[in-house]
Amino acid sequence: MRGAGNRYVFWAVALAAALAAPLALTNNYQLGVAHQALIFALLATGYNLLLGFTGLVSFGHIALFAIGAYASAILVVTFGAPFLVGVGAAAIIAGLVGVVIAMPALRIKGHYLTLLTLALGEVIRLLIRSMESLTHGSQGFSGIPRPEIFGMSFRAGVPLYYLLLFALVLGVAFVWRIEATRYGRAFKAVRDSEIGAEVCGVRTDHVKVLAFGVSAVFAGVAGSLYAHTMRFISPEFFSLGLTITLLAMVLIGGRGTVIGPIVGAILLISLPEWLRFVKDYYLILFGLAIWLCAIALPDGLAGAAARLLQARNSVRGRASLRT
Amino acid sequence: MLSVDKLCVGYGEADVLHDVTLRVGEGEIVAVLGANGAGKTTLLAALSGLIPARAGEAMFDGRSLVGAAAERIVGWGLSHVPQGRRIFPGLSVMENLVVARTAATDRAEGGFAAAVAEAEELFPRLNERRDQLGWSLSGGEQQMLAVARALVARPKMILLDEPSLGLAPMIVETMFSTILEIRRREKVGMLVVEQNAEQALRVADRVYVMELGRIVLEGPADEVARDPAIERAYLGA
Repeated sequence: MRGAGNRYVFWAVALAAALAAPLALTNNYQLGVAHQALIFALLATGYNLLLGFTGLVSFGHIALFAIGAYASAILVVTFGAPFLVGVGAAAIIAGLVGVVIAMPALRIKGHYLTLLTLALGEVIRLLIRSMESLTHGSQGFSGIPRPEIFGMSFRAGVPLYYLLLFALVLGVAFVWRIEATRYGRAFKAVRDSEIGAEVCGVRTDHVKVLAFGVSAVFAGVAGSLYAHTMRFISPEFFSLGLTITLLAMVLIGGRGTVIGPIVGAILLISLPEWLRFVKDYYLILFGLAIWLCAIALPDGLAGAAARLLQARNSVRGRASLRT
Repeated sequence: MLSVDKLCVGYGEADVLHDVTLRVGEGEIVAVLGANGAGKTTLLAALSGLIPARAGEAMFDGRSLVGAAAERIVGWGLSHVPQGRRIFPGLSVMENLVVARTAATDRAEGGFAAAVAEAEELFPRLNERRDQLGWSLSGGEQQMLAVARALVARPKMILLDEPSLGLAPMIVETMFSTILEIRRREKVGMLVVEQNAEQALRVADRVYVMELGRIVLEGPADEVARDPAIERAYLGA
């Protein structure tokens, strides 16, 4: 597991593949699926900081994604702000709301926290729907422009793809770095044993608020990118079903790993496309996949891959001992 | 060094500790004995700031522990090895120790590296297992890691909650001889909470006996060990 060199090679290959992908994605439809996969990979990467690293199960995360989307759309469309201001504001507003959601997490734990965040998420969604003058309510918000940065337009599919990829790479690099710092260890310490962390002098309250805040910033940015990519958002889209999808992305991909949420997001976004021939029955396959994962891959695809690599290495080690 | 004066602690409506008064001197090993539910774990949790005290006073090294946050108390040199070890199963042995690093660790000569070296000298097993994840350790190794984690913070005193719990007799033996070794080397005092009275009486200088949240008996270890009531209740004579 400690093959640092192998890790760099792996990430370099993955990045190269991502950079070359638009060559293979020939039509706009496929490119659109790729856009969504990138946005959800960013969202899931942030959610993983909370779920996988810190062990806090929040069901209100999609609400933060929605806040990011609406904040950016309102600023850019209604108030004519540039795209970068929209993204920045989305990050800040979602981050602040994330910190507010974190407050009850300091008092309650486990299922109670999950239920409370579920309720808070729904409240936020209903608020968005009822603030019609700002959000256009359940009609949805349309006419959101594609991103434009300093006169450079990302209106076309391929430039937009690279912009989204750039955002994802930044996010992944951030998580990769933070994993190796004291904050990364503090997140995992709180997940593994809160009492243990406390007696070691870890400020568990600060760590939880930080995890909520940072993952909310990811959600805000992803939300803004979603709004400017899809160009139409509505409160119905950000419902509980999407929360479950997000949860499944992190669990199937492998929580607590850097690569896991990315794999999960790509898989869950593209799978319905591959399974188009079975029509709506793909939901049954979805259910089966989650069920199988819970039984056979409790640590997700990333965990299974790590175990496979380890087994291969130890076999090789034994073989070399024999010769 | 540690003096607790009429400390009262409770959860919700239940009062658990009533007017607990005790003292631990510099470099002294003091044992608190008592049956399940006597309030031993609650006492340690209150001292290390995990739960708030309701009344009374607890002073450590000239500072009041009452109302102080857990992370500050660790910084003052009072480390807690909690019941059930509470190591981090998803972190490696080394990472477990890094989490416990404090400003005091860095102030001491040699910094973090020296602290780890000393802990690994006491528990050579941990050196062999450095890169292994916490969950893969045996119960005894996890207890070693929990004590090592406390030592990394360069404490002046350690609160030890049932170090023998769930360990094989041989390992318990080693654990307690290491406790004596830690005192000899680092001159740290210890407040040990135990159900295993026999072992605790062997290493302790003084003993307090708790029943239903009250201290009912105190004295030098050899005297308490000879007390017929204690023999009956805790040593199974």
